[in-house]
Amino acid sequence: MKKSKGTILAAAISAIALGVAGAVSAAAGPDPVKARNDAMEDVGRAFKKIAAIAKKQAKFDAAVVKTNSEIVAAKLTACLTLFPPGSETGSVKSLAKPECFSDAAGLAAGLKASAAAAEGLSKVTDEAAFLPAFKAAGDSCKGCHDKYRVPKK
Amino acid sequence: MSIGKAAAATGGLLLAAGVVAAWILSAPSPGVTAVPEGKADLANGETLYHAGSCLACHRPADGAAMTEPALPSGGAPFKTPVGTFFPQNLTPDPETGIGRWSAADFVNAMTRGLSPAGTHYFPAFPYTSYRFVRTEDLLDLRGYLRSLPPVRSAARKADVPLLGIARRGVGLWKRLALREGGFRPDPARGPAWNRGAYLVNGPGHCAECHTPRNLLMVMQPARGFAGAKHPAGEGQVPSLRGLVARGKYKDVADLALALQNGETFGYEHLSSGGMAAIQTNLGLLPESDAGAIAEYLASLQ
Repeated sequence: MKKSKGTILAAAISAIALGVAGAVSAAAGPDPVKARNDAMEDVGRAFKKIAAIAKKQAKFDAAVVKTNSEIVAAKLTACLTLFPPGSETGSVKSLAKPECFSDAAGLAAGLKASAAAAEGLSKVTDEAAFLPAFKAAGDSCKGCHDKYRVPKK
Repeated sequence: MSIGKAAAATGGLLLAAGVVAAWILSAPSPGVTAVPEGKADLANGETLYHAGSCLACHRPADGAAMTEPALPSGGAPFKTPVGTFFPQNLTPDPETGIGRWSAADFVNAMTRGLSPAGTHYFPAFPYTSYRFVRTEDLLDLRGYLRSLPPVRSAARKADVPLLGIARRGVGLWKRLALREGGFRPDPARGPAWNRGAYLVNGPGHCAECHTPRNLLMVMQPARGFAGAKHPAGEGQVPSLRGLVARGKYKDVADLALALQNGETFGYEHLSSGGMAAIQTNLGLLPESDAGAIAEYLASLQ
């Protein structure tokens, strides 16, 4: 009787300890949801700097196009590992649709295609070639978001 | 005992009366029988076709045989809280499309939600908005659809529980949700604002997703465009009120650019929940119409 009480107590303590350790590791370890949200925010910020040229709100500047499309390509490539199975939810709100996990191959292909389009855009040096390359990259973003992302408020 | 019997009998009678009343009230109203027809303005019809993003819902299912993704031969699943619908073939195929529909059939479908056979359409087909479209515009739209190459593609039956009863029940819903009256321009506003109001509330049917509905799924006009639950369960459809005032867009010109180019130009709110397909269609509108829509939307507070 006494022993069993002690066992229960020990089990409870270890359970609490495990729980705490689990919570600590979750907080300290990388949360793929937050990581991919941050990466996509970076993509959005960089892309908007290029979009300003297309909207004629800024002058064409090959250096701005190159720097920012390289950021877009790198961040999209980083996203390839940020949709692991089981990461439907995390410490922050996820906009990932279930299709991100049920069709992981399709998502990966989309990310790669968008990164490639951004790389193509980064190589543009003259204004005439800019708009077609920019539209190709933008269309690539658009194609995936409708399929894999829930609406943003 | 006899009281119980009497109560049962009364209850039975009430129930029967209720069923009879529902049957009468849900009957499809007779639509128009004849529409004066002129020569259709195909360019105007095409504008309305894009303004309504008809293809976004009436597209063929992915990879369906013998179809062309750019033609509205129907069949792609359309999910709603009621069930899944497979929209009608809009090409002029006589057997499976609208080839044999008279002008009156087309007008009754668009403005009253009545099929050529006289049954109710579910409001997944947004006649609640299309009833604001002018008859001459409807006829131009019909003319444009009839100018498309016919595609043979029979519509699949909707996947809705108790389909027959539910379809008849739409008649009761229409009594609540379908009020009379076409589009009335606001004389205090300019022509561009009024054009935008017409395109948004009529063919564009923006309210269908952006205006919240009550428990009976009737749109609440007092909360027009205030944002709503996504019909297929993809989170929240954003509010269209104060788009400029809230800083979502710099000004009317910025909003017009967004409607024309969407996410392609980095406007990140225009490519989720099905909006990408709608924006793609809006991008095919004449520039003046995109500007008119933007002017009207920016005025919503």
